[in-house]
Amino acid sequence: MIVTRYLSRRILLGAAVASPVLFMAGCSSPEADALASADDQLREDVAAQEARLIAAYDATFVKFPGLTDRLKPFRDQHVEHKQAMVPGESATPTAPKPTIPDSRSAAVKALRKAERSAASDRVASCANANATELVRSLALIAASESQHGAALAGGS
Amino acid sequence: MTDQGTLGGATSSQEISALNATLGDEYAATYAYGLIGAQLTGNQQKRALAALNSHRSHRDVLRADLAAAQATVVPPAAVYDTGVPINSAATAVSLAIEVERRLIPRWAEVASTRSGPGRIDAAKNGQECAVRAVTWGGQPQAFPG
Repeated sequence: MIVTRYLSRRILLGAAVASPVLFMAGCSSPEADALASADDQLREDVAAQEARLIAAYDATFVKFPGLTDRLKPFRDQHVEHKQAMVPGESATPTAPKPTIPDSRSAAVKALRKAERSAASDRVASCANANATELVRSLALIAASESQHGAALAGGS
Repeated sequence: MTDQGTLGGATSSQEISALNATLGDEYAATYAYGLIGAQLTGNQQKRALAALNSHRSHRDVLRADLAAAQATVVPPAAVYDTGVPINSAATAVSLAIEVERRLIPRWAEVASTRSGPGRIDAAKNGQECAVRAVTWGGQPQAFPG
């Protein structure tokens, strides 16, 4: 999906360059609108991914309440990430109910895997963002999630 | 020579200022790890040396990028204030967490002034620092720094 957006932006920019009339008509700047709308979509996508992570932690806490104290701060940081992407929206995740492994160590391992994959996805989102502020936020979220992955590697 | 590595052509004044600010903190990290390594032994000392090498390499890339953009390259200070004397393993480890954390928003700022591979590199450098802060015992943060 990200690739499609990237291509469509390139095509749009290319069209703007190729057509000076379209480009000069840019007081309303269709190209700036397109970039802003791509950013909005990106924020929605990242918020949805954060909601899935929150749901994974919540389901893990239901199955292994003993993990709650240690891992709740990580879960709450994802709520902060989500709210930074789509402000004002409820922190209650609407993601589908995740399946949690049957052993505690496998459950922690699954969270670690999810965090590592999120950390890497967030770098890709960062690369596709347009607004400076959004790039900066996504770089920090990418750093945060790589910290979660590292912290989860340190025993359970 | 118009396309200079990660800078990929024209370099904005925002990018130059972000690169120099990050360079300043990479110098500080390089200085700090000299003190940190001296207080540690065994695996911790090895980890400090690996971190020192990583910061040195980031420092060198930043200097090369700035030189390629024909921008002023800030020189390192002769000495950096560490706040408290670094005279034990505990003070060394807390300084390590601090220098790593300080660099995370710096690299995020660099990322925000770049596009393409240069932005991805900057974001990954921030992640490297973020992971090291946790490996030294720092707690993860929602928006590190």
